[in-house]
Amino acid sequence: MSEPITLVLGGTGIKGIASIGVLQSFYNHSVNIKKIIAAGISAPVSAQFALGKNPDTLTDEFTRFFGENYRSLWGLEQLSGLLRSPKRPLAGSFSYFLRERTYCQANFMNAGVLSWELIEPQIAQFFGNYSFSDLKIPLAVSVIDLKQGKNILIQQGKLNDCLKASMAFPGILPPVAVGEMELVSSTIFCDLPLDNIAKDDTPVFTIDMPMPFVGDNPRTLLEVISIVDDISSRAIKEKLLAGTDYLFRLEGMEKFRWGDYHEVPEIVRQARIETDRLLEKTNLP
Amino acid sequence: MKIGLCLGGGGSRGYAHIGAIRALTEAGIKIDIVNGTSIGAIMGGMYALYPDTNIMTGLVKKVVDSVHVNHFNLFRHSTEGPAFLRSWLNEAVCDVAALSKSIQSNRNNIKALKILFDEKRFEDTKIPFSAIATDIMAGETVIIKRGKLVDGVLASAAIPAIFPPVVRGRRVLVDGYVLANIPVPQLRSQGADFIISVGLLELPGPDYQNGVDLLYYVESLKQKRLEQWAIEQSDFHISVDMSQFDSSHFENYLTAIEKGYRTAQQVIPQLLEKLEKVHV
Repeated sequence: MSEPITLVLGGTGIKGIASIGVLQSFYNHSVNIKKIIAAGISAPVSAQFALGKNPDTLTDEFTRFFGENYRSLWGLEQLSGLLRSPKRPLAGSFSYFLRERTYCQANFMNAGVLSWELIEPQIAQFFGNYSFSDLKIPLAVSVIDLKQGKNILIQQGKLNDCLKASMAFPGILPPVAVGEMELVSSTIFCDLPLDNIAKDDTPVFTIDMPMPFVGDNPRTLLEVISIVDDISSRAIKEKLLAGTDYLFRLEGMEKFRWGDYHEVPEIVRQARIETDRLLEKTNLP
Repeated sequence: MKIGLCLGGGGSRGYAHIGAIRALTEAGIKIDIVNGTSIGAIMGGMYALYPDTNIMTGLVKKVVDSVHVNHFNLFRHSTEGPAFLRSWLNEAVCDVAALSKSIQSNRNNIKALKILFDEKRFEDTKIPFSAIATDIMAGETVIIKRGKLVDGVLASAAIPAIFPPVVRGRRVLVDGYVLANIPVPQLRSQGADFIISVGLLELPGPDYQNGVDLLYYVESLKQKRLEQWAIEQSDFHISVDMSQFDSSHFENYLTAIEKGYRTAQQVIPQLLEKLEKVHV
């Protein structure tokens, strides 16, 4: 058994699901996790793990959820591939135009393109009335409080709303009100929740699920905005990573898009294999 | 020892830089090198070319009198006005977003920059000067210090989505604020020993009406964080509170200049004390 570590998990969009594979691997290698700091989809995954759920069952449940709701998520899956299609035939250009236009219009009419009705039943089924105090491993969920204009960690209270907030990606899902706070996911600021790490958290073990940088001459305004957003997030991440003691960069995650909802089992499998390999090469503290 | 002046971006709030420069000049602080981002590059370029705040103010007046340089951010303003106009704007913005690279063209910006810089080049400035832009092909900050001032400064002020990116060789450049709104490290890399930075950026309120507002707000949180890290590397930072100024409206230059002057004047004694300590 290693010295207790703080595990930092994040990932943009569906890539956070890779945390299942990471946790599986850490568990199999008997790594002593004293605390998990998670953002995005990594947060509900970590909460399930911290409640004692078997990671295999977890993969099946997420696969089923995304399979059942694929009709609602198809548009996002297509949009997540925006910058990866270097050439488009005329028909492709038209469908591309429609996708971008629909996304833009939905975000003008609402606070996001999806509604919470899609996800709430699943969250309720997963976490019912559980609180942070019910978790076997302490968990801190990273979110942005819009009222304070900063990243915060939530470590107490009911799990439901906090985990919803961890997935409230601006532009996709509306913010979540928790008490006086108005919360959105922090992954859009930086996909890794490294902002509020305390001295007690050391040694910090960070799992990075990188996205390839697609520097391209943009063709539309949305492409300009997404490239610019990516550039600033990368700069913030690079700076914040200086505070981590151990960094695992799961390079194999690069091939997945943030909206690859039908790839859940493969994302988890790939993450587990890669984490196994990296753990075997690492001298744990 | 080389004293550097680093001027931050912030739209029309950047007129305050003229006031800050006036206060520094009156205090006898000699600037050896200057850089800037966006409006900071426009003001910095003018200062480097004509180190006289009266000439700078005169040129600004000439631009305001002859060119329409206000920029209209449809993403922000489409939530204002009567319902029928809002709905029409929403549709128009969605079409623009899916078909074009930007809401406005660079035409008026080029016209304005030509009034300020004519055919002058970076090499012609009396004080060494560089403009900061972001290359979105490489995802990095670019220091522009050669070529025509109009071309370099245009790239530094090409606000993404509002104005089209500027193509310069193999680079595709947008406003430097994306990574370096207050380009302190870039000025340090050019040999400045003591850096005086001037910042203007204000965080918008967290009030949102739609997803676009939310995305815009989170983006501004990121800029603020990156800016904070840059300021930490500055030797003396002057923060001008420009929260009352709309960054997209450019007519109010006299009030902004005055605000910059008063703010800088108040902190000049501390600056002089610090300069004395480092034996400049």
